[in-house]
Amino acid sequence: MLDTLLPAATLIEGLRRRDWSALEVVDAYLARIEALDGQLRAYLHVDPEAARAEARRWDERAARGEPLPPLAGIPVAVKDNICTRGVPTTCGSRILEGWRPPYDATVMVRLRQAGAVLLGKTNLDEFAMGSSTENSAFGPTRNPWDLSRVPGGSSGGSAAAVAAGLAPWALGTDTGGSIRQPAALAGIVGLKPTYGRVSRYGLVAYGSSLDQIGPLTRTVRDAALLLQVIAGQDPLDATSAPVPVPDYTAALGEGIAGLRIGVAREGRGEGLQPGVAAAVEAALEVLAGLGAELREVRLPMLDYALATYYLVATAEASSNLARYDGVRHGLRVPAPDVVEMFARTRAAGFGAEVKRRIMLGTYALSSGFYDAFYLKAQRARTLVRRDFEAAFREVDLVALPTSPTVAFRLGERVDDPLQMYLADIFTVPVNMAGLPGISVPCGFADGLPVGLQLIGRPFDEATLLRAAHAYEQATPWHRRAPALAAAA
Amino acid sequence: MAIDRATVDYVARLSRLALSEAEREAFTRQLREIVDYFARLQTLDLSAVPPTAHVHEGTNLFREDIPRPSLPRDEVLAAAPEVEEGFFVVPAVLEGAVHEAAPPPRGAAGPDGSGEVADETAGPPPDRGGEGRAG
Repeated sequence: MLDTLLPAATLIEGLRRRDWSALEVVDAYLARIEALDGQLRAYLHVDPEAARAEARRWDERAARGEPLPPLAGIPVAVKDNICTRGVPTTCGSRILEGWRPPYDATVMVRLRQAGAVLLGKTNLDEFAMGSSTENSAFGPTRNPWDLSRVPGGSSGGSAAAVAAGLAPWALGTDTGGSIRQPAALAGIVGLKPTYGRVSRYGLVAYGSSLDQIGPLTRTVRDAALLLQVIAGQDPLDATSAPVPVPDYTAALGEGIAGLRIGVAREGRGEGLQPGVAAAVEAALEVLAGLGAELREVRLPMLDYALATYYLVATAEASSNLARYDGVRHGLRVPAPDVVEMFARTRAAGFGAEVKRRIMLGTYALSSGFYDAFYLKAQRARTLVRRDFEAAFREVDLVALPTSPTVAFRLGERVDDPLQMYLADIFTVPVNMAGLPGISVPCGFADGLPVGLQLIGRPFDEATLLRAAHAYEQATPWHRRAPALAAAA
Repeated sequence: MAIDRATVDYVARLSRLALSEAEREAFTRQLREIVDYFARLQTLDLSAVPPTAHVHEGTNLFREDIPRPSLPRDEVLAAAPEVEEGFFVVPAVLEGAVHEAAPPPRGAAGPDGSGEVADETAGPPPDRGGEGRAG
């Protein structure tokens, strides 16, 4: 049977050459899901018959010699906070259990137009709030490199699925690191595009000024291919930007001679595991060896970025999640009057972390605290942006670790929310500033994957991808895969 | 500005969350720890720094004003817990008790309460919308 650890680009070539059919490809992934997802729990919803039917349609069109779109017959997994018409979209929450959206998110429309076949919907921390996928109401996803550990989050289902060959690639969402951190912890590539690069229409909102949809893939080339399909302005999202979309694969192989990469000493602070620090330092050496010029930059706001982020994101979340009120869709817990119905429905439908964030955000926005917390955080956000603006006057990219640690054990941080938040320390500044960031595998510490994060100028995903590709091609990490055996 | 049980109860009411006793206790402890961590922002001098609400501040983007089909009403209503004759049904709004969140407890009222909050404004800012009335 087809090797499900192949990059999507290889699957595309093989389909064009008729080395295999779309149905064979889909069947290989469905078999892999069947064999391994009982252990991993990467998926919340898989509809094998729907996926097979779509694959057959592409095979029939190919047999008739019809022109095919770029991803015709290629399967994709999609995080379960992205609306899929008629297909359950739970956001990992009881409050949306059983909901089938009456429309597709714009990224789904674009994927379908490009010919991609929806393989299934992947697990996540409830409403994308978390760094471990343990906050899913439907149980945690496991890390394929060590089943006792988390895959990161909140796009942990997408990351585990790709890392273990249960999908060739996947879409995730990133509000404070939720694509890059699980990509790092699962040993794959994760790209958060510039805010406004990809339409958020049909993405269930968490922090609307921060959220972006992006690819989780086996290789940097795959990330470029998937971004190509989903990027671009959308009339249905007023925050999507009218900025032309370049050809992201065109310049991938041009190398990085003379590229200036900023290294911030704030990225070497306490809390960084020695094994992670060593892998990232070694990666910087590789980049220098490829001709990049490493320069010191300062990111003094890094110490404040996490507090800033958790005020802004929770404030936006408390407002966004007000819509779950038991009226229009999802769960309702009956009560004699409407306010009690709201309160009981939300108490039963939301998990602990979502409640905590709604409470934090409501507190930060409430009378008497708005100026002390929310407005201060918005002002601090300006300083985070200025840090990067200053850095990008000196350099083309900034390098940081993606996560300060390798994958932690399930249960280790669930009762200590602040410790959980610290997993995002190097990723949240990128969302605060609206910049593109990529995590690329850069080695192992204690047998667990480590990610290097590269951060670019607004809408300069092309440079980010070129540097990540050069690094990837010079190192062996992307060719490693976790050893997983089907349960007996 | 320490978070206490009264603050948690007040914010839970604003948030429309009927918390259990165990949740009230855990959230008091956890939110206190998190808000203490946020306090590091108070050490920054931000008085001259404008706030960022959005990274692409600028002109509004408008799409062309062309009518397009709405979602089919039946499909939308199919997802609702209770519908009647094409409408969403909710429990009593105008009859029975009109709920309003209680005023903030002492010590949780910011500048007017404990006085611990460094705040540039003379009085409390207008409410930012947590206290919508039921009827």
